[in-house]
Amino acid sequence: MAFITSFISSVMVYTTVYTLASLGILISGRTGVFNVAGEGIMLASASAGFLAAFLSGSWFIGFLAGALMGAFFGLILVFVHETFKVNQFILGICLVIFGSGLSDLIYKLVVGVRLSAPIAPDTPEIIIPLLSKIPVLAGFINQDIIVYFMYGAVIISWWFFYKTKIGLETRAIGENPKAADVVGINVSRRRYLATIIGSSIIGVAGAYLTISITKTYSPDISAGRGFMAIGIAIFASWKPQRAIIGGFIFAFIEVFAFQLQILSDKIPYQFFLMLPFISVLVIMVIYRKHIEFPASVGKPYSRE
Amino acid sequence: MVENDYINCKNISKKFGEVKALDDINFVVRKGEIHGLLGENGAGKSTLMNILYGLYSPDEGEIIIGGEKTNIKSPLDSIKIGIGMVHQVSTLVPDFTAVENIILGSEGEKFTLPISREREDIIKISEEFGLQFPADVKIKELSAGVKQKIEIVRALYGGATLLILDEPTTSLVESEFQQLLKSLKVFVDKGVTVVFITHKIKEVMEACTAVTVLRKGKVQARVPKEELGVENLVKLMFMEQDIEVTESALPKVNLPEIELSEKPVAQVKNISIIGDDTSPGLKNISFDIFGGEILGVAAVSGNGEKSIAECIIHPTMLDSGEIFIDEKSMKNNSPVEVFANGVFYTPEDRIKEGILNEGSIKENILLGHHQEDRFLKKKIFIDWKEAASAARDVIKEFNVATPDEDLSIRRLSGGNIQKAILGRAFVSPLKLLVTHNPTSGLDISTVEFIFNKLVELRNKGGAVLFVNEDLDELMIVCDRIAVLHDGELKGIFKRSEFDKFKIGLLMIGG
Ligand SMILES: Nc1ncnc2c1ncn2[C@@H]1O[C@H](COP(=O)(O)OP(=O)(O)O)[C@@H](O)[C@H]1O
Ligand SMILES: [Mg+2]
Repeated sequence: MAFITSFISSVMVYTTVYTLASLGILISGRTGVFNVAGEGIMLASASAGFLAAFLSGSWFIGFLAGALMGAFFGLILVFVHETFKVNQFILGICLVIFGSGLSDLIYKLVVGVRLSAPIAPDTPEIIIPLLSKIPVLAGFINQDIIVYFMYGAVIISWWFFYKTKIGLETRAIGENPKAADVVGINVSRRRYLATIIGSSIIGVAGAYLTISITKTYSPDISAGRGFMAIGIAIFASWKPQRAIIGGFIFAFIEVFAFQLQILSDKIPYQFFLMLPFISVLVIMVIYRKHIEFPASVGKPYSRE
Repeated sequence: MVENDYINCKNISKKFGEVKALDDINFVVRKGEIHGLLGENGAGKSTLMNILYGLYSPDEGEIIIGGEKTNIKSPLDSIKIGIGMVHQVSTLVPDFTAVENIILGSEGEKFTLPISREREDIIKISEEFGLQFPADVKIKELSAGVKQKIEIVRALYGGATLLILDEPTTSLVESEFQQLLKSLKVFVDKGVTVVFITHKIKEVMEACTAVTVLRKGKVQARVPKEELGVENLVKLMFMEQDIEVTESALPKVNLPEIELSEKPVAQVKNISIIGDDTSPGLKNISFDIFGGEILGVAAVSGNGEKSIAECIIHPTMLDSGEIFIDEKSMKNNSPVEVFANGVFYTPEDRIKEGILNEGSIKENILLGHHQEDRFLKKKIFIDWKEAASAARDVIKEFNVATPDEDLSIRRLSGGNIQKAILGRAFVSPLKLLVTHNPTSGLDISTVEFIFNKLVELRNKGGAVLFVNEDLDELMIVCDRIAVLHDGELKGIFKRSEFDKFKIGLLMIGG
């Protein structure tokens, strides 16, 4: 039992990374902006968030910096796209490269080379009395505050998209921006908002990697998870309530592969590192018939 | 200014790049009118109304509404002052229900769903105006006629006192059109003024109380009800062009007697296609087409007419039977191989099946001919110079209105796209043209142009298989008409035997 509880506990940590990142992607996707820059945003925010937390000694300021870095990337993405109608995918890939370079650069500028790596301050945990004693369930709830943030973000965005009128309007933009435009909805403004908010949530996912999980910075820390998050958003048909399921599945595979790696010495460890990526492919192939896309995702919109 | 002027668009001009879509337009609508905005395709009707609605901004001019100068910058502004518009192409979200679509953008009181109050209001409005529809079914499951009702109710729900309908009849059947006419009267009774955009003279005659005629971005005239007449309107729409029209406002053409070729250009022998839920297939059909004739295929849409058109250029679709071109069997041939025998095709849906949206006019005209020696260098490289010259020939011969052959083809109007893909058929020597609904949605001058091109080919000894939904049109240009119902050939009539009633009855299975 204790093993299962602790296993779930680690799975939830990675579920948080995957879910937040794919949530960020699907929020802007719902307005038609396909944000493929997730990997770059996570890397830049991991670095910026870590540095801010380390220098200020506050986990909160760290996450705030991560979110701001994400918002900055989102702003670049949506501004260039809306103003010049540049292809969203090319733009996204450029931002991945930019983010990956930027993350190392700012870390080296601020920290330089040290013998012992700097360590981030602790992220507070929330322990709910009584419930936290129940095996298995404890794995889901005995967690730090960002895991709760993730739960909250999923619930709020589900409520927003499916239970509010502006959520309905936001989804309308992703389906048919012209339909939204002709009824007086400001398509461009909503795209700005959604992309900036979405990207800052991806930023939180990035900051979580360094501030809470590893507590220290190392290059390429997101290791492709920003790309996997795109797969999860697609697998989830751009629905928040499914993104958390997708996030859980991939986190499960990742943690499971990691455990296997420790237990087995015959199989080269690279095989286990590869497992999550293979799983994305396999799951996509199995689920391809059930996947829906917002009809206008990835397409620029102009009136004339 | 006349006192009861409601909408007054003054000196409006608008350019798209080099194209002058509107040139110093003055357009007035009075309260309580059903005002027809008539003009051929590309005249600028949609552009003018999109400016009034705030989707486009004019380069010059001003809009005065109810005596006050307005500054409409977006649909939000126009909705606020009581303008509602039903656009030429549907602007509903296919995955949402009618109610969800209608509340989009509206200023509801509640932030959260469900919206039962709003839902009730919507249903009340739809009943009040006689525009009932299923409120909670997804749009994608509804027919074009129902979708249009929903778009109208959306405009009324937004508080429209001016309702702009942009080509509302394009996808309606006759009974739906009659229903729309009734609704228009209801709107006026309830104090809603209507602008009714169309390119069909027949429709303004039936529906409108006043008409403004647009031609090439200019206002030709504002015609009051008393002066509305077919001849008058044709003259205004087409001015310098001399079009003779029949009573049903269709162009007249001249079919001289000519000799048919000795041997058939195409022989269709006992062809069958097994039907499915979307099509009845074809049931053992045989006929010949000779050089020097236009053979029409009359059918109510969905009776196998699409299969007939397609299987000639795509014989592998056939489950049995055979097609011969010049007595050579086309069995197992691909379309490009069939094309190489002097056959070409223009499909039913010119946008979805006829062109590559993102391609240029030149690239689209090359399509289908791209494996011909003429367009290849060293057998594998495309000779773009030759392609450009072929495209320029088509643009010239077929009057395609475009600055050059490199323009993206989707920038063209429907009529010009149709002319381009018809012209594409003539790029290489043509013996048999298969064309499906080439005139649908086009104005008379373009229809006349297309008819004349078909007749020209016929007079030169070519053959045409003209699959068309409009029987009136078939009776004007065809030498013979074959009638198809439920995948069966019900008979072939010579010109001397044409009888609208008899053929019409066979088309519906009588
Ligand atoms: N968004 C656009 N971009 C470029 N040209 C356009 C655009 N919309 C319309 N046009 C051009 O303006 C002219 C008028 O078009 P339109 O108003 O759609 O005509 P109508 O509605 O009378 O058929 C046409 O030549 C058309 O090709
Ligand atoms: Mg139009």
